[in-house]
Amino acid sequence: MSCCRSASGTSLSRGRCAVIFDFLSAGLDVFLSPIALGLTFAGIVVGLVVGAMPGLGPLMGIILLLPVAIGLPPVAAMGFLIAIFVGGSCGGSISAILLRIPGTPLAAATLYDGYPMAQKGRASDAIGIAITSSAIGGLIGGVVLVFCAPILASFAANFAPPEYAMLAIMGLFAIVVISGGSIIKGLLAGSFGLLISTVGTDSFSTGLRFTFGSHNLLNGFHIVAVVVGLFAISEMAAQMMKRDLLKIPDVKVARPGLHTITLTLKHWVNLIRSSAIGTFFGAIPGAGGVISSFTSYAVAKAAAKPGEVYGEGAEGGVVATESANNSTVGGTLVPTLSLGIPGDASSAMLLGALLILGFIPGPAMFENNPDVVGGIFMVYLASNIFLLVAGILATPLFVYVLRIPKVYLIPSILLLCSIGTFALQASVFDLQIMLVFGLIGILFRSADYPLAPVVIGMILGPILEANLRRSLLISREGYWIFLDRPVSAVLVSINVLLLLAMVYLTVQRMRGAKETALAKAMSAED
Amino acid sequence: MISSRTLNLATLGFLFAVVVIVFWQIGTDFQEQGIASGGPYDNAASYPRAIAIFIGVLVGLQLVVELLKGKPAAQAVHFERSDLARAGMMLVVFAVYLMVLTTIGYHLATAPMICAIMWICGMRNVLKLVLASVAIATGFAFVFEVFLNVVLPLGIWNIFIPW
Repeated sequence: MSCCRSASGTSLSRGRCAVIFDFLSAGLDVFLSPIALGLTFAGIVVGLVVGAMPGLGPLMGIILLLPVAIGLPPVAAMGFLIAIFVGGSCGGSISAILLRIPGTPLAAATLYDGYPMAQKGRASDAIGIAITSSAIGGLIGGVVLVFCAPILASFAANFAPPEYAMLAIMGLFAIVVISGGSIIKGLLAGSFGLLISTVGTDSFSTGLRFTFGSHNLLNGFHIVAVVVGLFAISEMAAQMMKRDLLKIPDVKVARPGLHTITLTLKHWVNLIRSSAIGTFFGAIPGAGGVISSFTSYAVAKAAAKPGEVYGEGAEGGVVATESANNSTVGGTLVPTLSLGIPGDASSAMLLGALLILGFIPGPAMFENNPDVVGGIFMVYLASNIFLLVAGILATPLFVYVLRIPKVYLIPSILLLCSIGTFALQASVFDLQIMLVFGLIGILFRSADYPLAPVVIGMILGPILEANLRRSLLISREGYWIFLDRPVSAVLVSINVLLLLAMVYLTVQRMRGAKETALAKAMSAED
Repeated sequence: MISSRTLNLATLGFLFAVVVIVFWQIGTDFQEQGIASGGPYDNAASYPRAIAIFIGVLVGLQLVVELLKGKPAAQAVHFERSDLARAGMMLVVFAVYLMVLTTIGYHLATAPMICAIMWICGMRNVLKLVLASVAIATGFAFVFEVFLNVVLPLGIWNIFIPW
């Protein structure tokens, strides 16, 4: 509150701070319960474990434990899942530093300096710096989340169906453009997600769509069954094709101490700058932690002092990448909560969890459920503090987990998938759907189709269709309603620009691929 | 070894089949229900039809991209037959497990499934196989049944553990 008074003194900013304070105080009431606190801490531990294990990561952690969470009270459930997201985003650094295998793509940039630090006998310091940077970066992202999400939600409160329809399209397009890979494949995956969300009873006409006479399909596919199949089953199949299933990784125990907090704080400029970069990229749908950690690393390297040699075990390199990828989590929750547009696949799953729990993210949730919104703010902030505590104290445990061979992990994960999916509705049909989507996931992965747009399409699909049809219902001039309204017209323009960017990128990548193929052919001839 | 072109064409074939199903359903089931035409309120077909058309166009574009690409042999996914067989066997075991789960129940079906997958992974120590599979199956059952109040499939013999 004092920051608000000193910041401006205008009634507007005082009003905003009061609103933020109201959210936090409402959230504190529901957060300070043993179940919410306990599950947030448990989520951090689970997140660090799944993050540390190569091949899993925060998204897989959220997917596997979503069926467990949706039977819990809303804030406790979101605390559990958000903490997995936070812990998982940091956990990848442990295996990156110790094994030179990033547990998640988010930790790929941490390899550059984390592993050389470990080789120099400073593995404990590297892990401690990674955990401290992640926690502080996450807290900075959290401050941005707490201040920006209500502002964005109040701006979006004036949005009507045309704006929401255009926003949903923008979310999907942005993810396809920014996330890399083939644009056409990304669009195909996203459109497939949009299409599978239409299965079931149409909410307008109450007609049955693509149910093929099955009563199991009246409510469509359960998102958890689809996502578990697409990601977890296909990942387990991919893991089965590797040959290290019985191998016990040779990992030395690392014990980071409290002195690593001081080591990290010595890089405070780097910490704040990288966290700001991470939060910014997090708020852009599709950009995500990988882009932000590599960008922060590049910026930190460019701004390094003469004595700091990046790539050879510089502490600043670990600080930059880890603070950036965890602050991204805070940034990505801004559009997810305030607009209902997920920033990446993990936040799409959080959005899906909120929908299953009976809350529709967006301005209405800020208006009608301030306790849930405030609770989410609180669990996010608390999970970063818990990350610091659990990370520093329990690192030997996570290192021990890295020693578990895959032969035990694969059947355990398959079992967790099947019990979790069954527990949703006590339905064997959901298990069958999970298996079918597992096969589709294997097909998509093998042909290099991204899976994240399928999930985001499935989440955004009902929002897009409902708002598109509502727009046409209230319109007297058909599709012109999207251009008649100023904000909607701006969003249409952004969508057109994104579409043009897609065409440009596709042509560029095709040219690049052709030139590479030509060069290869010429070198082969030589 | 499977060429990336084969995999891409298989995926495009799948997506094309999805488009065909959408139009087939709109032409038959949607028509019968009277939801294939009309205004935005009554027409439940317009949105899936638009997406199906979009997918159809993208499938065509991707097909052109595939045909314009260089030699398919240059890009190939290398997998040994034994690696593929392991993944395939795991999927078969898992599918069989899902099929028999409701019939014989969780407690009879799960430990053999875990045991089979661990055997496929290459573990041959019978004692480890049995102990680990029973421990994993019972551990998960305990967590879900005791802490989360989930009633796991009992099967036709109503087998359960009174925790």
